[in-house]
Amino acid sequence: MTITETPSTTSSAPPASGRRLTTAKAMVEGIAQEMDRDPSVFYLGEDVGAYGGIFSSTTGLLDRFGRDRVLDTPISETAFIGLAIGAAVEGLRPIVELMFVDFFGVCMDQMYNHMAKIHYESGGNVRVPMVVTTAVGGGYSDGAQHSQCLWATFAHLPGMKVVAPSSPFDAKGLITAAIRDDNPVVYMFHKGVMGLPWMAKNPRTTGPVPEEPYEVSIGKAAVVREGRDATVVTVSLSVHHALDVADELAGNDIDVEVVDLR
Amino acid sequence: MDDNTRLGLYRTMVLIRTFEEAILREYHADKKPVFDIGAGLVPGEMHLSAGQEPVAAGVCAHLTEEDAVTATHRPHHLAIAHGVDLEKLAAEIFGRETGLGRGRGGHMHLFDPATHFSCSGIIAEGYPPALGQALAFRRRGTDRIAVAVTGEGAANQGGFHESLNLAALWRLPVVFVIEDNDWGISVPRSASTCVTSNAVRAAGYNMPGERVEDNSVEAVHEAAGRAVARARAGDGPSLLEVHTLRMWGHFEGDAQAYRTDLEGVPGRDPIATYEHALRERGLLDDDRVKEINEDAVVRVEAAIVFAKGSPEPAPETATEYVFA
Repeated sequence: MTITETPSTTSSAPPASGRRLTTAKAMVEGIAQEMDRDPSVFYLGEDVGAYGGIFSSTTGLLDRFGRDRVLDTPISETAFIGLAIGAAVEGLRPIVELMFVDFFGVCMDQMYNHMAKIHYESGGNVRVPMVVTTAVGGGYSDGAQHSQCLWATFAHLPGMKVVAPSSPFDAKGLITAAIRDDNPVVYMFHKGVMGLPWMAKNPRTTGPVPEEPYEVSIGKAAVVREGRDATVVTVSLSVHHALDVADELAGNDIDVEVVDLR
Repeated sequence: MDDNTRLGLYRTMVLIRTFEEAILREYHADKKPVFDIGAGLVPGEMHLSAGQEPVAAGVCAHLTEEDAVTATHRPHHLAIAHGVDLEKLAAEIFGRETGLGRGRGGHMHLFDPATHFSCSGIIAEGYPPALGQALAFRRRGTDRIAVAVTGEGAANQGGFHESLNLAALWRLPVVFVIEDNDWGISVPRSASTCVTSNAVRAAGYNMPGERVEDNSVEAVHEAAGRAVARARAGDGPSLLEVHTLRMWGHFEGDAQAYRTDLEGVPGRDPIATYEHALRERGLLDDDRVKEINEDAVVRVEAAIVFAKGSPEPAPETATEYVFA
């Protein structure tokens, strides 16, 4: 597979103004641009085709790229995540969706014993360039089996990178970086940051997103609000909550810094 | 089957057995007088494949290095039959820097991009990645296939059944192989499996299923030929179960006190059986057998010497290769 062009600007902070997208639309735009650029990228998972992803992670991709590159799978996570691993080993760049991260219990062997370990076990001779996208978090009364975050569960295990965007800008930049990365990357998107029309509205789920492709570096935290009195270090939807609190405290003359581990 | 094919199958089986006997010797050499699994030049579990050579030889004879094979915790016979470099294989077993995985994988975790060979130490979990290799081969417009091998104990795992369904649903060019050696460590298949032949399970996944009953390399070769041809033609996956034989313990150090069939094992050695058959056909005589054995010994001992003479990974590189 020859990749002829890699427009590869790296950005660390969103522009102050410009075109605004929801987090979900920013994520999809990043995926679509990478699928345009690199024919080895394809997307598979449950309800990622005609439905467009239960949490709008693939809206419009089927119409644009067809069934060969946007594949609905059976409810069979061990088989299709394992399939993605084999495809990645042979040089394709699959993005595979685990609909809710809570479902990792039925397929974790493929993720932590295979996806994350093959590069090490092969002494660096075999790369596994793939992305696992997965929805996390609750806040809408979905109960104990559909609301977990589990960032630490994945981040604790060596061999896979873990990212968790909190803003539309990071959602696009991190998915772009994840697809281009030669390592397995677990891309954990909180349902509450996606800007879904069927969940409680949160103004921070819409924000400025450059139209051209760009990467947000994996592994670099961002200071999303500067402040001199106290620092909150957090991730994903809690970044929104921390910013809300910081805004409130600013009225009391308390200046809070917020760091997003993303 | 022509005579060259017969002799080729015999040579492959002899090479595998010679390799396994050499590993057996080296593995135990420095674990005496008291067996300590963590001692010696090759510490850790060791699952050897003596008796299962017909599966590897019979199936892999239909493959090229462009085809993929995924194997199990007991992988050496399949690696050798598929053409994995003997020196790199031996060096990996010895945990050396010159090994397939620079000594990081060990004998249950072999990855060879040159022959698209890999294995997994987790039961049944070598099946799903084979689907993705097959998908990649088809996407590139080739007739390359993936062969996924596991044991009969794996046929009760979810990963096995999920893989059969998805491969059949997407008509992927995969051949699923089950090595039924009668024993899941100490549990006989009669205590683990609700059907007498796993081949019947293929019907539930809309694919052909076949069982070879007698550990005959020629019968395996013939049945595998049908399955490989079907996959290459784009007609989808097949399931092939071979009733084979575990001649030695589950792992080295396994006393096999549970085993009720040990007495008959020597008489069921598939290499001796095949040698006899080829002598009857006039294809082998004492000189030819000696020549084939000596050739295997030369190759295997060279690999062992290479492995033992290779450097161990430097301690300061312990954390390398976690990420690309």
